[in-house]
Amino acid sequence: MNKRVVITGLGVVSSIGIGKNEFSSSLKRGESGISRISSFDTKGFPYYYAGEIKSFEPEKWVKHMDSDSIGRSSQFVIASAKLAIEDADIELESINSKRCGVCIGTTDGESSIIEKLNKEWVNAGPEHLSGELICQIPPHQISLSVAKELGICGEVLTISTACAAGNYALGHAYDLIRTGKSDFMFCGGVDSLSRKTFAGFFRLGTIAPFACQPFDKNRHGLLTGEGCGILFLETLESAQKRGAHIYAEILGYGLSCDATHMTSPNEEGIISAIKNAHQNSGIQPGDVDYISAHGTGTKVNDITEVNALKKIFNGTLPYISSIKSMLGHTMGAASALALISSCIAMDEQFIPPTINVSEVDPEIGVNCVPNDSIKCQLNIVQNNAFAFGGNNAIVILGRI
Amino acid sequence: MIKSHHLEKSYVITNWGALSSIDEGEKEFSIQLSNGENGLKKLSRQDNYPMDSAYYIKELSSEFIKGKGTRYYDRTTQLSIAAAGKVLSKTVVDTLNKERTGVVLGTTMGSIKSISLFGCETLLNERPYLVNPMEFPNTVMNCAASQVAIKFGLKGLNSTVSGGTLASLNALNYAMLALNLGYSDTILVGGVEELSEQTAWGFFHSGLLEQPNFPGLGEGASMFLLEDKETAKKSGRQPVAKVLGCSVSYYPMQDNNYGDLSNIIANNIRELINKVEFNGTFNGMVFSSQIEGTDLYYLEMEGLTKVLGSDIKVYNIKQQIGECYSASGALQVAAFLSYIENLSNNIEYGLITSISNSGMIGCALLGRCKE
Repeated sequence: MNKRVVITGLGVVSSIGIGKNEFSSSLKRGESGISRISSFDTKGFPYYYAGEIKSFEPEKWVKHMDSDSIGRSSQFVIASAKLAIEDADIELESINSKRCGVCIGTTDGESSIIEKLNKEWVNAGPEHLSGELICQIPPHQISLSVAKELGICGEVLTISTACAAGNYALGHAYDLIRTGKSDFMFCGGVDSLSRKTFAGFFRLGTIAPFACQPFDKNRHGLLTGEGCGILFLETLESAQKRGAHIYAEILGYGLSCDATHMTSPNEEGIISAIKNAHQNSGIQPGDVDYISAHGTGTKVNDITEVNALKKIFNGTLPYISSIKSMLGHTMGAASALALISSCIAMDEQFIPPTINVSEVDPEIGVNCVPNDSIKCQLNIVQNNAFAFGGNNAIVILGRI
Repeated sequence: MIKSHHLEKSYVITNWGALSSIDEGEKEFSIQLSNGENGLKKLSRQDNYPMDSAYYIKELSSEFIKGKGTRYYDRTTQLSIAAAGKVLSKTVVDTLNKERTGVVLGTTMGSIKSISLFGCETLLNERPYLVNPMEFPNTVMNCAASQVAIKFGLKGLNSTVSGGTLASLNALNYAMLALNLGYSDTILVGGVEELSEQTAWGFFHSGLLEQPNFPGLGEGASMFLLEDKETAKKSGRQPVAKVLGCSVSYYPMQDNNYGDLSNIIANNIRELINKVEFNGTFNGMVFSSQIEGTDLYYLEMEGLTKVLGSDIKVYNIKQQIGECYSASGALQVAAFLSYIENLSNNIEYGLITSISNSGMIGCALLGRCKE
């Protein structure tokens, strides 16, 4: 019989707050984390706004290695993992390290290190690259760094399914615990601001000039962002035994692959993932109280997502909002931060808003909780994530 | 429908395909391997590599990487699709339920060449956004797995896992859990590694090329169709081998001091062998990960002999196909599958081991299918 799996700790590094409390306050207030990009040269780009984290001090969090010996994404994960375990109110020393694992999703891995190496290559040629930087770039170093910092010896995995990676990572961590392969898991997603990703999305005509406006009639596109969300998972039994605060239970998740196009979202693929998620969680569409949307703010994502949802929910959606309106699209971190936002929403009984809404697109016609959060008791929340390559992942959370 | 967990269920491989420097993607990997072929070739003078030769595929060709829709495939995608093409012959594809067939691919970071070149374009072009939008999809690490799905219409679970040396075993481990829980009925599992100037200079600057007995860099891809016996039987696919179990873990070494690694390796192997349907006598071959003479080789051998005794047969394919990094585990599986194809070899089991110098370790136990 599979075990029940719950979320007992949340760790966040984001442009609207570091730590669960700051993040929660910002979500409630509909705070924007968007600012002028300063971490890479924006000269030549007509647009230059993103969800950048301005004040992060890696030395504050990275203790068992030189913080310069790891990339920004790894630093974010270490900080978030430490915040998550603190939030879970459990001593790491009390956990059997072999029965604890790490599963982190990412889109671009250590993108800022790759960018440094690109500059070295262009300026001086490949003969003159820094060996110390090379060692930092493999994405598996991201999950290894946190395992090394915390002394974790179970399964340590990095999943690289682009913008759905956070949901994938939580799903895999959930599977490891429910089958008894692991007792505790740190899982989530991370990405640092990436110039090449910014350029790519810009070239596709999908970057907004100032603001991310999901579901709005005049939405211009996405804004890129960075951050990390880590969730600490354990069995329900373990959580109840130690009197832990439980945010939510993971009821299940569903995956699908469009298998049609590398970049365009596909309604059929999304529907398939949602159906899988509902079936695997044992719920009906009518049970869902709130959808934490993928909601990137591009013309095509938002309409495709909502059209797919309307087919599942028989035309009438529950509340739906997109926190990308506040954070920008944090890539591999996006669905992890949205899972954390959903946990907080269920715990504190409110729905975070979609900010920057002037007029909801009549073709979309949903209650996207425009601009102001609302009080609401939530029992079942659905978290959507869709990625390049047609990798779709939906997670269902339930209140205990 | 998600099933209840069955402890350490075994699965079968019903078809497989590999390409590497010894077969150029054209000849049979298994025949070339058993003939002792060596894939080392001189590199072209036009390329800028930190070495003169490598185990690369000189002329990669496959019907699946030609024609409409293939123009922007990068090499990682080409290798993956070519390998998938070897597994998914028309006869096999016709038997598949594509809605329930997925892909799980092990890579390190997709194509670092594509990612790097795209990033360099933003530095070199007149405007930083004058990048080729058709090449943007190549910069995501799940590109190859997704392109395989698109090419063959596979709509089931699709995932990409990172892992360097452990990438292939990470993919296998992930896939087995997914099958166990019913997320998919059949999964195309594998690993891929492209040789590029970026990878080569990366290995050079991290000091790995200079390691004593380093075999030389290689490239390749290997994939196999993994499913449970009942699914295979119902669909008319014959098992060629079984996968009894897979285990991966992490040993946090301090300051590159290998410390207790050989014991950790031994424990990893012992735990796997204890958990699976294994009759206690290892009539098998180890398809190991480290080349003789390296520090990790002695630790790997020590770990193996602690569990299996000193009489073990060990086969290291890197002497023939080089260091294929993310693809190495999957190519080691291909080596076992090649070995048992030759009926005069009477080994029953194959133990695949992957040891990395960053403390990640893994192993997988495969077995011959009895009639």
